[in-house]
Amino acid sequence: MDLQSVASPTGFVIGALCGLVPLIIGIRRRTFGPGLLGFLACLFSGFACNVLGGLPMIVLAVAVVISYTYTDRDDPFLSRATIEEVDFEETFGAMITRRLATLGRSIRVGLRALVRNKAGFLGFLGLAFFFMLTIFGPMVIPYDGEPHYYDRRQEGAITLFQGPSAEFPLGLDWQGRDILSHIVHGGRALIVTAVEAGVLTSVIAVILGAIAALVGGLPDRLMNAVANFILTIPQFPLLVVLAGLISFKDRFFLALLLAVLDWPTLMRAVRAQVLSLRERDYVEAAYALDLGLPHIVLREVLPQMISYIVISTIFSIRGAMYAIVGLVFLGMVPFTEPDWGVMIFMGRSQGALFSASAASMLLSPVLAVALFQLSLVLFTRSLEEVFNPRLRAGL
Amino acid sequence: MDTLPKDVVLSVQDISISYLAHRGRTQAVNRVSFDLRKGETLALIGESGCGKSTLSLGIIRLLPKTGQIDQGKILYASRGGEVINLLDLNNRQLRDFRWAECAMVFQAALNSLNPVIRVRDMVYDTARAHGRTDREATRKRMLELFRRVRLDPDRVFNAYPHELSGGMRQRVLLAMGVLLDPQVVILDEPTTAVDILTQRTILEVLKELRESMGFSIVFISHDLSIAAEMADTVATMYAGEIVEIGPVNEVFYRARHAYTFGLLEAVPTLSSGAQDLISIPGSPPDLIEPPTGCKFHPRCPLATPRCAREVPPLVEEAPGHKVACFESAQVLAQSQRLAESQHSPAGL
Amino acid sequence: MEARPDIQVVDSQSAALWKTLRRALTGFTARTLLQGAITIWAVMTFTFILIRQMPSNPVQIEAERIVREEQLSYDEAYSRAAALFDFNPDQPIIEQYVEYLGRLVRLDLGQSITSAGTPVLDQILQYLPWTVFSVGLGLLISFTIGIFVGMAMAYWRGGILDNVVTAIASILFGIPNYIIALLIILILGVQLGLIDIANALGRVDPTLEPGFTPEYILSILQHALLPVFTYVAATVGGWILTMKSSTIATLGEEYVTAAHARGLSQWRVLTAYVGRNAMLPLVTRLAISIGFVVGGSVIIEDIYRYRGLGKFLVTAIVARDYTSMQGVFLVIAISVVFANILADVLYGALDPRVRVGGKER
Ligand SMILES: Nc1ncnc2c1ncn2[C@@H]1O[C@H](COP(=O)(O)OP(=O)(O)O)[C@@H](O)[C@H]1O
Ligand SMILES: [Mg+2]
Repeated sequence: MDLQSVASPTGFVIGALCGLVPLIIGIRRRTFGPGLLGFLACLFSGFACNVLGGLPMIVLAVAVVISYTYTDRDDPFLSRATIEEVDFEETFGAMITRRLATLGRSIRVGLRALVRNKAGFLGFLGLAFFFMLTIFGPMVIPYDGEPHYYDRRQEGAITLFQGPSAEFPLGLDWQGRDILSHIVHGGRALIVTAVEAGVLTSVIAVILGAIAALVGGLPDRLMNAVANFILTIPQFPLLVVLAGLISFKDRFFLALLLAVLDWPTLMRAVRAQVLSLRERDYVEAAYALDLGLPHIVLREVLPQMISYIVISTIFSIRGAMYAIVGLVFLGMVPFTEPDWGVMIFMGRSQGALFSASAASMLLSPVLAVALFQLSLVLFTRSLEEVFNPRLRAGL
Repeated sequence: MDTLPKDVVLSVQDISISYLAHRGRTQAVNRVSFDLRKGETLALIGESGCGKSTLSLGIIRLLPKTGQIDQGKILYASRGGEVINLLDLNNRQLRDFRWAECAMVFQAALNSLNPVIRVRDMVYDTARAHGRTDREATRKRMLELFRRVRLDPDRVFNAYPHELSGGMRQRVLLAMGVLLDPQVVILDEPTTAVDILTQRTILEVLKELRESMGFSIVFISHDLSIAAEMADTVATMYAGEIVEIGPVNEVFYRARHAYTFGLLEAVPTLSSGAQDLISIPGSPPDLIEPPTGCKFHPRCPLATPRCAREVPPLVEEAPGHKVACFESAQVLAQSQRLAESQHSPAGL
Repeated sequence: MEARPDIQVVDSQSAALWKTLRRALTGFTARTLLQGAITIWAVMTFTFILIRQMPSNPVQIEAERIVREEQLSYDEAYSRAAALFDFNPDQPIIEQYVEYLGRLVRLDLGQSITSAGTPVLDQILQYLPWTVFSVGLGLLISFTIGIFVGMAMAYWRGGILDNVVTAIASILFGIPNYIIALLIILILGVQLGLIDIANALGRVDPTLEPGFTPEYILSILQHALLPVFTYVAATVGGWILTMKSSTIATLGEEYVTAAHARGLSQWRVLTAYVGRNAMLPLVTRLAISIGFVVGGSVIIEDIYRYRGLGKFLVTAIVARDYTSMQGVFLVIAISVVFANILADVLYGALDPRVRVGGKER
């Protein structure tokens, strides 16, 4: 997983190449606007995340472009074809096109819903800002770990704090290093770890919840007992203990650990939902047909719960970031600079908390964390609208 | 000051009610008028969505915040003979009016009882809100009423709602409805969510209560046979309007509106059997952008171009029988044929 | 029976009250207690093993400190540290466990390792009240505010109050509590100088003589102000938003309209019909939060130098004071388990539907 990658010139080229696909399709289908937008979207995401961003964006962009002109020949309401003309044996290509068009339509509807909720859109903009900051920021502002003005420090001063100036918009930290560059570079590891933890939490919870509900019996009781157990131990103190036990040099372990402590709530919700779904005929049918656990989970359960799961994931991300910064704050995990949490820790231990001139050192990362978390929470409002058809209809 | 004929207790005059929604204004009730006499039972019939519940909520002034009464008057003659316009009442007066003068049993009756408190607490709440602070008197009266609706009084009085079955809850509401001896009782589809035996019980106790207490009833239903059994007067509503109103036998034997006739045709009877049922094609219209002219014309088998152009006025074509249909003569002929073939209206 | 109606009413009322209580307590059976005991034991055992797996041990940590401060050789420092504590790091863990368990059944939490001679129970009793006071007060305030404001917002939804408070609540809900604490110090304290931070830190003015004197109590309240305010600010948004959506859902219920139709006063409908039903989902959460009051908020107590149980726990962890750590975890587990039982009992008392044999509906 190359999530650590940042914007690069190669990515720009990859993005441009990827963008050609929706562009050409758009020109051929005479939908120039969407085609061009698709090109830009691919260019942008390829630029940001190389192949990892470019390729998925091709699919999304093509889907949206196609959805503008696609009419389903089999759709009884839209198609003018008589029943004899309709070929029900659709070819593979036709099926792909149909699926893409459906996807494209829901993306468009989703985007519209995203924009409609003001608070949610604000959250989206906030997240986009942090995304740009950590992905494109490093291209503009290189990491600066060198002390400045070391020679000019005041006589007897121990620290090199400096307030904001034209040269250093956010000032200098206690070692005389540029705070702005620390803010730009210090969020990535934190965000990536938090997102990893959130996604892992949901994956674990969904799988365990589905198993508990569908298999029942001993596994069900066992998992409930474990969930109960985890919910009884206070999370943060336990984390502090575990932080002493496990080396968190590799942040992925930290993410995994956070996920292991966080899954019970979602798992219970999934379990309850699956149990109620099981009563419904189509799931029973799928079960009777022996379509297998993965099929049932992926095709029947997930679509029903997607809104709940996504929002729960966001809250897990938020919780993970809370815990990581908290651990760093207490000095319980090894430091890797640059990092917002480390900035807060060092700022406090170097006395920036009580000195007005040094406030920027603390205030900058504190606001960064606060705004990121706030954006996450606000963004869930939009997600609710995107996923909730009743809200989407504007009723 | 408004006046009413001597025996009229409730007079709805030219009432329009609309809801504000995202998509626009829903004209849920459009210029509806009717009189309710003392002891009379008026049945409001019509498909769901035609504004029956809205009208009844409008009468007790309990519309949701998005709904409003745009015009008209609702006159009420109190026992003392004083005539008041319900739209002029302030909140305090409204609270006194509700239940003491006009009680209502809601459509979702099963959900009308607060799940976390006992039946008796709801009873005491109601009595106290109307100044009846003597709990023992209230209790006695309530127990007596429970007996009359064939409930085990003591058990029900002390029960939580979830301990009662659907039919029992419905009767609890009925009994609570007449606790304060109101002049008017509105029943919104009281028999829809219960099984057929419970339905019979409810209708019987309702008739007994009406007999002994003499209140007037607005009975909302989309079951025509029940309406025929209970009502003195029947009003057919379509798309927020009363399109036909008249004495029960007039309306059911000599229907003059194509919509009423359609409803009658759709009723299963013992003689006709299910295979002859003719349902009305299509569904009730969009009340945000209703059709022009007669709102029923898109679904009407007798519709003429004139129906799409002009709104038919509500005219009295027989004594007490008003109808808003340009083709009423044709409909009348058809319904007389139907009535002959079936011997009795609505299968009774 | 008919002859003495008033007595009968009173009788039936008190009898019903007893019945309610008894029914509410049916959730609180021997089985629940046993389950709770097993959970507590499991947590205790788990933490017992876990904390002894942490690298280093109290003797080593103390030895390192002696080496740093007194320039002794490590071996010398080690033997001195070992003599200092009544703790043998080489004793097999299973033996330690059996010993601990044996003392525990006699309700003896043992003695602190690093503060030799101090019973852990005394330590806990010294820190616990402060945490329970500050976090509990914060929870109480924010729950109360949340209930009333959330209900008011639902009632006048779409109005100015709703929009403004929703925005504020979302922001407060979105920001972590320690960030709020830092912002309070940074902005209100340092930048604007509104609060005298230096005098607001800690639990109480150390120069004052402890006792029930007005100055001492005032000082306690003053010092609790910042942490309590922070707890309230960090949690009130969540309560408000939950209560609002719960109330909106309840307002749409038929029984509320029906209550209005019966002519009930606005106040009565709002309390007994809307409020009581809307609060149901929040009560469980409240009870569960009460369980975690005891653990305190480690970071907030650290920032405000408010020496409560959370801060004590971190200190114990850093010093690898096994018995103290163990004691704190045990106390937290007990309080969480009891809070869960409390949640069940409370819910049963408020919602008659769950009382019947614990089954839904
Ligand atoms: N709270 C509401 N907000 C907006 N529209 C409503 C509301 N309640 C009912 N309506 C609309 O008003 C019309 C009449 O509804 P209703 O009075 O419930 O009909 P009925 O009781 O005859 O089934 C329907 O079109 C319905 O969609
Ligand atoms: Mg209705």
